Amino acid sequence: MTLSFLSPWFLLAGLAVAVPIVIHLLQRRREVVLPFSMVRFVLLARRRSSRRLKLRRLLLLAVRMAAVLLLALILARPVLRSPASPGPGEEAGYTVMIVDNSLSMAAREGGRSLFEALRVMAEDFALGAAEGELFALIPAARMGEVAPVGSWKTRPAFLQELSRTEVLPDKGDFVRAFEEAHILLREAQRRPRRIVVFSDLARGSWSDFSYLSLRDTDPSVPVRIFRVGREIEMSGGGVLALDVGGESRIAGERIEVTGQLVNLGPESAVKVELWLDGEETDRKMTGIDPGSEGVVTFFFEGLGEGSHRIEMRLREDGYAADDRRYAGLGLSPPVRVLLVDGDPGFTLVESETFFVHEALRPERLSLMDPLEVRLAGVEELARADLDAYDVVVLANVPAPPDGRALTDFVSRGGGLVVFWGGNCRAGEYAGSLTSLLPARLGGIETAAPGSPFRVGAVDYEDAVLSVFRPPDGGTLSTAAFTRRAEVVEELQGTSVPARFVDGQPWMIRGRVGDGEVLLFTSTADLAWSDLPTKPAFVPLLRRAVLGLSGNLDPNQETGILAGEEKVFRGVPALAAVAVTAPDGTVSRVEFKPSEEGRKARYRAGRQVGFYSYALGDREGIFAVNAPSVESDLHRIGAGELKSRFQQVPLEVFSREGGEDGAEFFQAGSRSLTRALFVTLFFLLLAEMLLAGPRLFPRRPSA
Amino acid sequence: MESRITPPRGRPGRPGKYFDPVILARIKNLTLLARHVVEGLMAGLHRSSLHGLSVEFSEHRPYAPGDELRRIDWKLFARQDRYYVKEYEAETNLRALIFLDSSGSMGYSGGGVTKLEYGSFIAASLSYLMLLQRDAVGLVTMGGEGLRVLAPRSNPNHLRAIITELEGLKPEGRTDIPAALEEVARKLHRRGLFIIISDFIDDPEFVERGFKHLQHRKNDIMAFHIADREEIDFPFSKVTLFRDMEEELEVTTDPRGIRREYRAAVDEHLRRIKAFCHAHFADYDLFFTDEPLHRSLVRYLARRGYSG
Repeated sequence: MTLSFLSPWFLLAGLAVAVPIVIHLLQRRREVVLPFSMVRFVLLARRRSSRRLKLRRLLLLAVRMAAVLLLALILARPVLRSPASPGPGEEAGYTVMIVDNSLSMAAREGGRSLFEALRVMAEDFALGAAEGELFALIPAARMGEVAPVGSWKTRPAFLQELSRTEVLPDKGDFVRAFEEAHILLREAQRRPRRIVVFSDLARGSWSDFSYLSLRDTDPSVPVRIFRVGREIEMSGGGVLALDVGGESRIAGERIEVTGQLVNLGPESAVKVELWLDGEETDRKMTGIDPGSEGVVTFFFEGLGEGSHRIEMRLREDGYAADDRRYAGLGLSPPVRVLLVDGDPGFTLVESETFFVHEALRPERLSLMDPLEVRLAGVEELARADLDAYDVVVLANVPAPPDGRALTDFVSRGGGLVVFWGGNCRAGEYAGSLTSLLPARLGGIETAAPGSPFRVGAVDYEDAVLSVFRPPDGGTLSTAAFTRRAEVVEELQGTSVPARFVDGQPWMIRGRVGDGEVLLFTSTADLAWSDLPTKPAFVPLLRRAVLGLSGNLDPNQETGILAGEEKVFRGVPALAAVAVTAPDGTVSRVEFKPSEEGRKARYRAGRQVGFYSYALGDREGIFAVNAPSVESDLHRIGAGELKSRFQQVPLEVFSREGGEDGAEFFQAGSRSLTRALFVTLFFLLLAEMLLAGPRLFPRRPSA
Repeated sequence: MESRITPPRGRPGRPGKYFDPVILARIKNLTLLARHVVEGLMAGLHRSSLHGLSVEFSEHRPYAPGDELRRIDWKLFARQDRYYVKEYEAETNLRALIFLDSSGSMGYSGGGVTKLEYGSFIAASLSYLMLLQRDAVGLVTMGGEGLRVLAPRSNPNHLRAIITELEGLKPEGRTDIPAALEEVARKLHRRGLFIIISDFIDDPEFVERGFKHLQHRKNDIMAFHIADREEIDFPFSKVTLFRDMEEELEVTTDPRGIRREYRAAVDEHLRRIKAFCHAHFADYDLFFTDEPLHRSLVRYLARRGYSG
């Protein structure tokens, strides 16, 4: 470390050290003359205390001289510089400063955040730079914002910009930052040029960085990296991800909340709390080995319709940013199903819809059921107000009495499930439901004895059938079909998610207007197959109904990461959507036309938490979380860092030195002004005690 | 731990304010002042102080017409069949001599009255009181003009002479208490009460020698030590040239630096004076110049046996 002065000419003020000496000498002449009766006692006292008095006088003189010298030193603004710091001795040039403002910099150490420590170090560095040095500031985290490349600034303007920079709930993108730095340096006319980086070197932001992957770089530009903060002693843990599962997003549905956790503490158990709508509803101790990741699952049942806030919390630790994770959940009202039985039997079991009804209303202990099923005969279908239903299931119905009403129902967004059967009259279907059925059916095919038809090709991407994805899903192939409807023609625009082994369609999907139709070429009872007795039947039916009512969305978004876009699909006659951030600020995002229809894109701000929105008369909630990658606070070593920079002249500095053989020093330059002020204060205090009147004069004892 | 002599302090605002030396100093007439002090004090007493001041038996004398019958010694009458009357010491006139130090150091004042003024007030008040009790009182002063003696008399008109002497006093000359006491002891042959009013800024050993002279003649001694608070507390804070008021002595020093040692030296001095006073059965008391005057009178009366 070397000592230098920012205003060295003020050192001349040190000549004022002569002032106390002159005062000291003059003071002898400014004595008071007092005729006194007990001079003998004064003489005796002085004789007894002469040595102490002399010492005190000398001390007083020394203190006053030191105070004057100290004042001159303070005016000269001394700084201690490390070899890493550019000083007045160095030629003025260009410095690009990349500051790590990723979320990991919010971790606290010694009563302040790492980013606050970074800001002090960076300010010291800038203050210690040569006069005329130009700076450019590049924040490593931008939350996806596309900002113009920065510009060169003088020191005061740079410091101002630095003071405005904040930690963002995002990971640092050092690849982009270095590329921007080189773009800026290309404009630099003079030398020297340098890039300095202030970062905690947490792996989260540096894991995918390699100098070789940068475009258009100049390897001759030296890079100095200053590590901020110490190796954090891991404690607590973090919620890396929060997933909300369940068969549907309907009120009363069983909701599964799964959190992916990392245990960073010494204990082998992590306490997890689950909060629902602002209240703690459940908690668990989950066994996860120290340093490992694990999963914890909570279940809800009976949640009402509307928006819900789900929050998973861990005990708060030094890095609070990952101790909570949020998910927004919107639940729809129960799906209303009209089940039309085309072949009612004498007993319940003999009726065509027995198995379907049982599948849609299984015995459950839930307080609410996501489905409301109404059983009806064919004649009732003619009288039914279809607008009161979301899905209509036709089971072996000979022919719909009012094909036009049914077509209108589907066109407006309703769902229709058709199970074929022996009662169905293909000709009448073709007549009344020409534009509704996704296929034209013919007669009935019967399987050869001992060789039933079996389901073969299944499209597991289909929302209804995705649950049967092997190897974990159940299978449809065990069901044996003795008869099936012959498919004469698959209409254009339809899809066949499941076929029999011989290629004949079994399940055909077609879209009509805003609604969908699902046609099964076999019966819903045991007349043509044993499928109703197979385990796959219940999920198949329920998912079919939920899917057609628009409630089966396994990829339903519960939240986004900070900096990502939340996309709202357009609602007719709605120009904009209003989004309310956690701090209460309301943003209005307008719908704009795109290839996939009208969309409104809202970029989540810097706040994590719950955002609410109003889409016409529909309200909803979505969550914004910090990227979990920032939870990895392990530092990248200096050796590894150097290997990533290859041939680039790189120096790495840290506060405590000695890592991977790298050269570590105190970072930047440190102003001594504050320390000198403190010393001056104590010197003045000493002067007052030595020379000034006593604060509490000694009194004769009472 | 350092121990210090702790002189009593005046209590402004109490009844003592009628004896406040600073207020009394406005009364230019010493006679008036003495009267004010003494009568103010006597008014506060519940019974006459002139009865039974002493009970020390002195002698018998034959009864004469006019003597009170209650004074006849009936026991002696029973043995000798003659009337005798008892005579007591108190009934013989007291001879008191007030010795007032008027050396240069007595002229010091820390803002109120000088030590000499304060001593004069005490001397005047005591004289008034004694003459009121028909005692004989005299005054000895010692200052620049050497030793001046007014022999003790009980004539009330003697007060005027004492007051005149007191009013003419100036603080000057050196303190030589032992020489003065020796000379006084030599001049006065009858034993009596010596009231010494001084700041005692002298070598305690020498002062003690003077006390021995007085005690040798079986005199009673009361030592009224007068001091200014500044002399004891030494509260000065600026660098000061201290010039002695009696001798050619000067010293420049920072009082704050030597205060502790100064106080220790003064305490030691006071302790030694007090010690030899006690050793010679002399009453000793320290008076500050801002204290009410009546305390000295009370002290005197207590010595004379008044208890009430």
